[in-house]
Amino acid sequence: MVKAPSKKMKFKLNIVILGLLAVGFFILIGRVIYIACFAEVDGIKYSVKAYNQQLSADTVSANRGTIYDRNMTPIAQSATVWTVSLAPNQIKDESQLNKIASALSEILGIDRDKIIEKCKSKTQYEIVKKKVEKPQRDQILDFVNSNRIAGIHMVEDTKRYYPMGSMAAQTIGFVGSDNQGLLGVELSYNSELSGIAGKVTGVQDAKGGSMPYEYEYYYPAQDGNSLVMSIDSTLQHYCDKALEEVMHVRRPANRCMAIMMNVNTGEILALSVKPDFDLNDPYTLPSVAEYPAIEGKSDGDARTAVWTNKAVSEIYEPGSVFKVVTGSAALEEGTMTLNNNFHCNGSCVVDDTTFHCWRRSGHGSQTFTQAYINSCNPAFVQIGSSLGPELFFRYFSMYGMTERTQIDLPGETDSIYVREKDLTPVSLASESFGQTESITAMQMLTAFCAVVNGGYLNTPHVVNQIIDSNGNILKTKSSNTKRQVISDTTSKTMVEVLEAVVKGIDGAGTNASVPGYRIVGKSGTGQKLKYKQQTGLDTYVGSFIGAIPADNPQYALMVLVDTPTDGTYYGGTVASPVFAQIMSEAAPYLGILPEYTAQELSHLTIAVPACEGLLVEEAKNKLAKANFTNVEVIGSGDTVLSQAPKTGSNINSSTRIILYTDNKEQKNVIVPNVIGLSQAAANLTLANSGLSLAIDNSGVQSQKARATAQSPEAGASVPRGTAISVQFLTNDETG
Amino acid sequence: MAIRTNLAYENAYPNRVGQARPSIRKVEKKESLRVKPFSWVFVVFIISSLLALSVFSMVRLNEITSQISSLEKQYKIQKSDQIRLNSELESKISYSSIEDYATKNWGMKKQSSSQVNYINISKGNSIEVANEQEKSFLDELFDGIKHIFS
Repeated sequence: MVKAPSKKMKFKLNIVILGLLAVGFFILIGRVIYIACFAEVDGIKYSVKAYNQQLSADTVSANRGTIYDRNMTPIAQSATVWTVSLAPNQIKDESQLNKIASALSEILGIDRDKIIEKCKSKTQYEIVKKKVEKPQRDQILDFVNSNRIAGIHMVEDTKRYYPMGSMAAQTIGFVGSDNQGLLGVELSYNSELSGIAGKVTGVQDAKGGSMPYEYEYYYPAQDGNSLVMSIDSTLQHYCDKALEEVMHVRRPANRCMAIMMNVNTGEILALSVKPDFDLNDPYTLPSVAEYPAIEGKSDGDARTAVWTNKAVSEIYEPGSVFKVVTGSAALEEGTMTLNNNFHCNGSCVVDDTTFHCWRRSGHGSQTFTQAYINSCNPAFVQIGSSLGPELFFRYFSMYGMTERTQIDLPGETDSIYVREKDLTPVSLASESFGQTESITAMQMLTAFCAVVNGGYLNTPHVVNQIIDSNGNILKTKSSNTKRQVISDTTSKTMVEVLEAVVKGIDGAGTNASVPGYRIVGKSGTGQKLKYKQQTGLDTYVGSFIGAIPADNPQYALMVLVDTPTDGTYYGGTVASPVFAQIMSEAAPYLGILPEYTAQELSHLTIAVPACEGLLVEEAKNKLAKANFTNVEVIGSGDTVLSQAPKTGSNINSSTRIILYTDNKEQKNVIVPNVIGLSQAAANLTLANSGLSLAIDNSGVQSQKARATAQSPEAGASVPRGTAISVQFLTNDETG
Repeated sequence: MAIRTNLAYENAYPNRVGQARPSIRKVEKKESLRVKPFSWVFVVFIISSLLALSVFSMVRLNEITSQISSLEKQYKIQKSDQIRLNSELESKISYSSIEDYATKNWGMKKQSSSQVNYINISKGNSIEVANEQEKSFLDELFDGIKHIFS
């Protein structure tokens, strides 16, 4: 008989089965652990592949900071735009394709055939247009929703807006397609403006949907900081406007620029370089007609020629403006005083090298101050040699000519000069009056400010503050004084001398004079020697640097015109009038009120009040109140039908005003040519024709001044009594 | 003969002399704890309510988060549009545009210096000195005593 298995047998069987199961279990566990932790496919562990598949990470882009002018007007701001793309594999059929192409072509302004070509592509992703703004985006969304289109996608992107267009273009700069600064302040402060991108990490299921709660981690983006610049958009506009006129009249072959700086702090209030470009479209350059220098250049070279900030990235021969450095050094060291006399017979010789004065006939005997007013080169050769090479070079260095200004703009270049050990009497002589050395405009302006502000050399800057996205100030750039170069006493003496320069040798004012304001300044005409060596052509850089007000200089302005091609080149002719034009508008804006001398008042022009339609007596009373006493009434009527000069014409109070009460008596006359005449001669010529003289720039009363422009032009037929606007300028190195 | 006693084998030795029969003590049966049906329902109801509230709050949180996200997105888009429109506005009202329009379309001219009159409204510097009132003898004595003890 078969016996049933005993308990012992059952027990042993259970152990065996359990043992086999355990072995199988541990083999499987071991295999799982191996696959999970150690196995690799194509060098990548399965665990890593699982993470990559399950984890999702999206970047949260940081907003780029805003750039404001000193009055908190935004001049650069970022906003969200979209990139429109197609997924050709999601387009159902031909009719849908045509629909998409027509709609996108109409909305985005792109050629329909190009869109069709993209739609027929075999890829999964085709970009149609980047930087699409909200109105177009909304139109596309409406189209997509109403037609249930699946193949059009829009991804967020960022666009930088520059509301002021081309204002301070080279200074502000622009960003590239990846929102990184490429030029100007956008580049030099890129790390502050960029911010730090954030991240959203989470787990996604097999269908790609997110599993938010347990696994999602959000790292917020840190928006970029914003900048408050020292630039004032109103002052910038004054400079831009004046330089546009220079481009039109003087046609400089190598651009022109203007810089306005706070004399005591180094803040740049305006920095204008023309020709410029629209920051919203920086790759569209001025035409060859506007800027002939780019003709024949490759795209890259042309962009460099336009984009470069002339104030810091180009060097030039400063010419006579540099004499402020030589003269102040000599006064400080006591090698010269105001009582020193110089004799100029038109040239001087140093070691067999002849240096000519700009006035070939010579200036004769002149004091230190007169040497400045006359801008006499031989006098400054003497002043420079009195210093000697060691002292000259010491002040050359102390004024910052051998080092960069460290302005917070990119691309600042180094100056070129003769080292102290290489300074010969000849090179010392030519450097004394601003030739041989080549420096940046910013270096020259900073040195000039040191001459007039008590001797302190400051670091210029274009950014005043860095603020966060909530407006909290993170950093303030206060003025940084590098060193004191000359004493306060010497500085005050130089201010007196430079005020005399602007007043002119006869005290009647120069091209830089602005009625009602005491101005200090110096013009310069640098001959481009290197260009002459290369081409044999004589070309010049005309400049003027001035500061206002003379009793306590606060604001300095430098105007530079590089290689004018209209036949004029003296700094006093091409740059000084621009200085006067800008300062006449800027000074009241800066809160500096005019104080007229009796002489200035007598030359001040007054706007003619409106008299048409008034009774004759009423008109006469009105004119008398406006200080016009020379009134002629023509005709027998009681009412003024027309007047000459017209309402608003700026004329001298002694100019005759004609009131016509009868239209039959009005006669026209032909405007004579007064170009090249002095003020007195022009006045007489116009008076003989029955016309009046209206001086455009009444600050220039010098006998040397000659008419350089008139409006209306010669030959025009105008009513008798019309005021002809004439500009008078002195065309030499003075002023 | 020694007998190993064992109560289990008590019946094997029924005639033991002298052993008293154990007394039988009745133990009252304890009433089992009766859970009333209503309590069960109440507890289930509470637990279910808590669960439902928890789920509801998660759903609501999800909805509100989604709304916030959507509103933030809308705000961002509107802000971008504002920047774009401000940029267009600034270009239309830039200084050069205004000057251009005023001179060409309206024939206006920039004001001349003669049209500006400056008025000085400052009253100049002045110094105010408080007139000291004459003090009586008692006031001075009192001030002196105060000064000593101050």
